[in-house]
Amino acid sequence: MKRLLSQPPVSAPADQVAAVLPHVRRIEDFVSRAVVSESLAQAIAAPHLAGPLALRQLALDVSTQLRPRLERASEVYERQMAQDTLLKTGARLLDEALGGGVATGEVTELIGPPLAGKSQLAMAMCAQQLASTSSRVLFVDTCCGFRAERVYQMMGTVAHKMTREQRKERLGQLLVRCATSLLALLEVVDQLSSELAAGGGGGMRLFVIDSVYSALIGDHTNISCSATGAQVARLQQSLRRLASYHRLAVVLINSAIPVSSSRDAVLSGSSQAPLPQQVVGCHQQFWRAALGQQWLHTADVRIALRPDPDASPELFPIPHLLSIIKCSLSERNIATADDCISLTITSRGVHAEMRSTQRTLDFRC
Amino acid sequence: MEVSQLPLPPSMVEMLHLAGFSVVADLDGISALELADELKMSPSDASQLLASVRSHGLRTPRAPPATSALELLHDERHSEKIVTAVKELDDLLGGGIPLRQLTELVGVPGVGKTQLSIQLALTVQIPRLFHGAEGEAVYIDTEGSFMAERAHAMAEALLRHLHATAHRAADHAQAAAAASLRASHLLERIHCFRVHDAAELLATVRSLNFFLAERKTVKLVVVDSVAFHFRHGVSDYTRRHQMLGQLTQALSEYATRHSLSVVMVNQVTTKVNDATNTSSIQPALGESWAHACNIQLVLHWMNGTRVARLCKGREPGWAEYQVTEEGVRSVQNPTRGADT
Repeated sequence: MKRLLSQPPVSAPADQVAAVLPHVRRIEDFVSRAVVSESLAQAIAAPHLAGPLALRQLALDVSTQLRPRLERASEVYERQMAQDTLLKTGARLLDEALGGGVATGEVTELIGPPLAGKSQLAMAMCAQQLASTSSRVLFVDTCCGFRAERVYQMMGTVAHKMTREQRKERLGQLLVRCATSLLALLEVVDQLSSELAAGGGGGMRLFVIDSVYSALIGDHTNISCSATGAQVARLQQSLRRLASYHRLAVVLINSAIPVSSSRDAVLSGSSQAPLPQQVVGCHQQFWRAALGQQWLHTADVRIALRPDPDASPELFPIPHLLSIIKCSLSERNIATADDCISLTITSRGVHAEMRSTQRTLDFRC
Repeated sequence: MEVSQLPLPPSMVEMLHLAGFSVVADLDGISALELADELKMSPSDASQLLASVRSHGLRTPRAPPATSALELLHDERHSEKIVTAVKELDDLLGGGIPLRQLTELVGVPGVGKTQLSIQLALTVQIPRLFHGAEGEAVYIDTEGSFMAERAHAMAEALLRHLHATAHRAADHAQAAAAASLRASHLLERIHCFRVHDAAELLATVRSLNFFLAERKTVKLVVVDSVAFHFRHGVSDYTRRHQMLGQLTQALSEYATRHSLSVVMVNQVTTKVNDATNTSSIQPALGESWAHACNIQLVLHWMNGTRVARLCKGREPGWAEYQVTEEGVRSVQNPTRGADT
């Protein structure tokens, strides 16, 4: 969409403006140029425009109209509290640790190595959301990992009073889109933004991408290349905007890659991300979030998952460990405590319990 | 689509923005000369830019439209499975290898990865009357391990099995369907590509798009093995990582778009743990690759028998199997169990 000067709120004859301010074609350019003194000096020197003061007044008017409404922090607080801002995950203890659930208006990232239970937790969130509300959910599947049967099964546990028909009807409100590349993912995010901006979306509160890593893996070693880097930055920006403008809970799944020592994890710059895994004895394994330093800015809340290192590989259900390693509310942060949450995944769904790990977790936050 | 989404350098995107082009549709119908004039650049640069825009921006949408989970539930419940012919393993998998997913077969040399892959390329062809997928198979062979003679023997064993099933059920339609099949027909429906290096492998997988669009009946793509060329041919770790990523992206896309099953064979590697001075056998290609598959089957030896262990995708468990002249079959008196 070209936002031209000839359209409201400016409605100025484009050729007249162009005569005084070359390169100014869009409202953004006008706002950024018309207020700098150099441009104004030019404007003063142009007698055929209604007058320099008129131009200056116009710039001010336009800026005022473009500016979003001023809000006091108290208003923001009330607005955020008033809206149903916390979505339950289905695992009670995890909800408590998160201060009530996954927040709408925030980007939450689940990270972990393979078999850590990331997709399962994401599907449990979908099941919970479908069972407890009538709103629509969008799930972007980038790695063929979505299982409708699994969500249906978990909905049965969450809402055992629901009949099969009711569950199926609710399942119709869960939309799944496939996007196997960065460009496809951008397209999906853009379409969602414009749909929500146009008032569509069916009261959507939850938006899941499983996983950003799979979508970016073909390009992500190229992130240093300017074109790819710019696209990844745009994706980050779009996701954050989706969350805050449309009050969505954006849940992203990302991989964790192993690093050889805790020192590497710190040196590589991802001080928030390394996950310790102590094998009983003396060996420690660390991970950090994949997709590099730039990507770390995407999420407001980062939840780290990994298979329980103390558990026997033969054990079923498989226990997983969960820690919250980045969080906007400090009391929600349980990463520095000696305890972390043990997450058990069964056919019924995900179940969380507190667990003392009997060892210091070294998160280097 | 916005111009900032195009794979262009930021400086170029900025120039387009300054000139007032913010979405790709703004560039629709503009000539290279006009654009050169607007952007104050040389006509050759402008035509290059337009070519890039046209190839990326004005193409058909990349992401397929949304499907509701209800439709997917129906598809998951009613789509055919590719049987492994090991009953215990099929039970673990919920009927066999499912369509629309990526399955990884990992194992030490000689445990039967290729045998199972060849057999799957045959069992995918089981007619619908026998509750099979009645599809064709693409077999991408990187190690030169595909043995047509072995496939022929397995095909004949499969046909004998189908005849016996039809006979037991006294089903005339089944009997007629089985009688119309020949082992040579089954082999005709396995499309083999022999690739010799990592670049050829990636090129084959990418160009498979056209092949699959023409042959809609393909229900299985086997890559045997993914590891071979990447472990030995590509020394630059970053490059290898990226190529593997592109390979999985393409295969995931085919799996969804053409509702087919992808089976990827992987080798194993020995991982030495310096701290504890122990070593363990791990799937090759590293941790980032381990995200690629939806279902992981690890084939290994246990007390002198072959065991297939389901590690990812469904509730874990294991099943014994044997490799006979007929192919991969279950063990007579299996001591099978879901881990408790």
